[in-house]
Amino acid sequence: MGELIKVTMPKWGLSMKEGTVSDWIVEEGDEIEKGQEIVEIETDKIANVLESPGSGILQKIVAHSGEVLPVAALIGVITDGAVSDDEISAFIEQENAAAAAAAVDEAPDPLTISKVFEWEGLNIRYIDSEDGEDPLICLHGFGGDKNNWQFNLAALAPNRRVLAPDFPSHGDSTVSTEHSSPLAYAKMVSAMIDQLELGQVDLVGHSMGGLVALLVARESPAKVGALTLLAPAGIGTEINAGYVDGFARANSRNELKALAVQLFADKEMVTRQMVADLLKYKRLDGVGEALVQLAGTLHSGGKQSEDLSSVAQSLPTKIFWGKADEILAVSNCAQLSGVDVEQLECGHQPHIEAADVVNKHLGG
Amino acid sequence: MARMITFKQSINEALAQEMARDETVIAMGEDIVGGMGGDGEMDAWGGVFGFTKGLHGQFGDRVMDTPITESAFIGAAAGAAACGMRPVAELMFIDFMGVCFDQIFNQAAKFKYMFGGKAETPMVVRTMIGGGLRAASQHSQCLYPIFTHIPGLKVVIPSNPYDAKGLLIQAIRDNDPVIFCEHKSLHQLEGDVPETPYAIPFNEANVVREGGDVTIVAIGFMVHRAMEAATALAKEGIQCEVIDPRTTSPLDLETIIESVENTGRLVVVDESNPRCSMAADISAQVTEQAFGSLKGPVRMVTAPHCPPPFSDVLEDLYMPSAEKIAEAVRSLK
Repeated sequence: MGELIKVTMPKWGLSMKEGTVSDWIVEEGDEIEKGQEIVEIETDKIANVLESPGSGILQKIVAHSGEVLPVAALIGVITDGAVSDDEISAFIEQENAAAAAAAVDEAPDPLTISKVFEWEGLNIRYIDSEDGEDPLICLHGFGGDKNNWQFNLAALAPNRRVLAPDFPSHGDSTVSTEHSSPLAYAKMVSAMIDQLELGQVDLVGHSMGGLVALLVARESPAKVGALTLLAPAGIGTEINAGYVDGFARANSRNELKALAVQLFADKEMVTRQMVADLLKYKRLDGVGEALVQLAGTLHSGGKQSEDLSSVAQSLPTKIFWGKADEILAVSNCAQLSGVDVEQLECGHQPHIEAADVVNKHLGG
Repeated sequence: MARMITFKQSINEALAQEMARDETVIAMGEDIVGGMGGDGEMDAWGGVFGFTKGLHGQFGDRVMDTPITESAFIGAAAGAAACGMRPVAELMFIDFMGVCFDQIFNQAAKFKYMFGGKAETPMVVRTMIGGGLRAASQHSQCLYPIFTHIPGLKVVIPSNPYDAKGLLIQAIRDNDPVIFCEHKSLHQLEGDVPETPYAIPFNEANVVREGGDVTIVAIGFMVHRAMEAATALAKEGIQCEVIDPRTTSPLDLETIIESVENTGRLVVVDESNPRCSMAADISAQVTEQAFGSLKGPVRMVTAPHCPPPFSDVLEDLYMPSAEKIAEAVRSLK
């Protein structure tokens, strides 16, 4: 192997813990001299230009514009040009492993990191606890996002691998009116299982996420082990269509607050911050249109569009339902036989309002 | 989890995304291209503070350097807007606005009214306000009350990166002339900003902190000073509600009054000079409309009635501090 020179995040001043790579002044493959200005770095206090630690060819840019990295992290590799790409990759991996080992005490909690995979040209954001067997994918409801599982993921992660994506047009995933139906979301989940090589997974779905889980099970039965459905759509036909359409169209604090209180048995759970966060989400370009379209696929004439009770009966399924649910009434499961249904003293959010019960069932 | 970017980056991103979305959006100002054709970092630097960095590379001649003649290019922006473009003019410091008052007050602000509603003027003037950079009297003022006074103009003063992006996008999409004020002390402030474009409607105040004892209305950079005061006061058992109006024209008086009806006490923090300031305006409107709810006088915390001083020591005294805000709150016991 030829000679390798590391370009690392500098430490400018005592308080600097991390820096942002603003812009590379040179490109991959450029020949550079020791002392030459190669990359602009920004800290919270200062923006400055980093000089090259050695001469050679900048063979690999590891950290690109906009990335934030801790002091001493590898941002690029300079070589004499005689190093193969495989050797570079191995070197970067080795460096990352060393950095990870060094930072083991302050390694960020994976549950606080938003990861991304690409599906049909969209960026799908997700949380992945990474460690553990027996993967469980958590599917949020209409207008929700991966953070709806804030009371569940940390409880489950020590015992199994947990993942939680943002559906398209939800959370931090790309907004797309072309992919705005439960069936499209089911295809996304199926692709996620393949891309992350998860094998067979368990699914837990809340509300519309329950419908999506049922669709994944119907379309790709081999990929799904057990289902846990929380106040699911897709079971029975009753639905509070006024809530769904109202949420899709709401664009003020007051409208959203009046809707959000319908989600909980205890109305005090709706905070100003919760409404503010919903408003931030609703303001994103295209979200309103995507949700209006999605709402149209969920119900017609005041009834749910699709009853997938037979899918729930075809594999191990557990359903939790709040007796005070104002969105999807618990009476939806009245005709359901052969499925374990547990009714809880809560509203439309069993995973939030009765997190302990749900977590216990899921292995937390 | 969140994507953290600076106030400055959020302005740049809003401009880039709106220019990509709508080709009638153009940018103009002094040195905003910043020397095209230079080497490396010197190419298209994007103005003295780099707000427009990289835009010339993406949008070419839709990003225009202008001569140092505010009266000419603000007038040109008003004319372009009346003819169907959506210009975003950068007028470096609000202090320089004096030379183009006619273009703004008598032309841009009046077109809609004087042409019988046939002309719209979707222009934005981005400009820097405020003290803290030791830049003396002609580069440190907070002159937004002057523009708030003029019917036909909208006046926007973001206090954080999230609001900066959403309000600038709204300003560009708005069909009226907007004076968009960026406080110099906020440029490097980081915050959670979605990459997807979004517009924050005007006339919608942000309740930054909830509290039942005293309402503090603070504008722009002062929101941060008010939050500092509120944190200190909470330790003394005084709960402040901090409201950031975000736009002074239109002004979301409803949210302010709703809060005052609950707390009964109001402190208004405004970095402007006190006479005919936003502090004076908000105090008067609340006193007129919610007098019965007030348990004491409305307190105004503003700069004194003098030009911003150059001396570090004096400038620190000139700008409202967290301690002065806390004192004003305590005086309302």
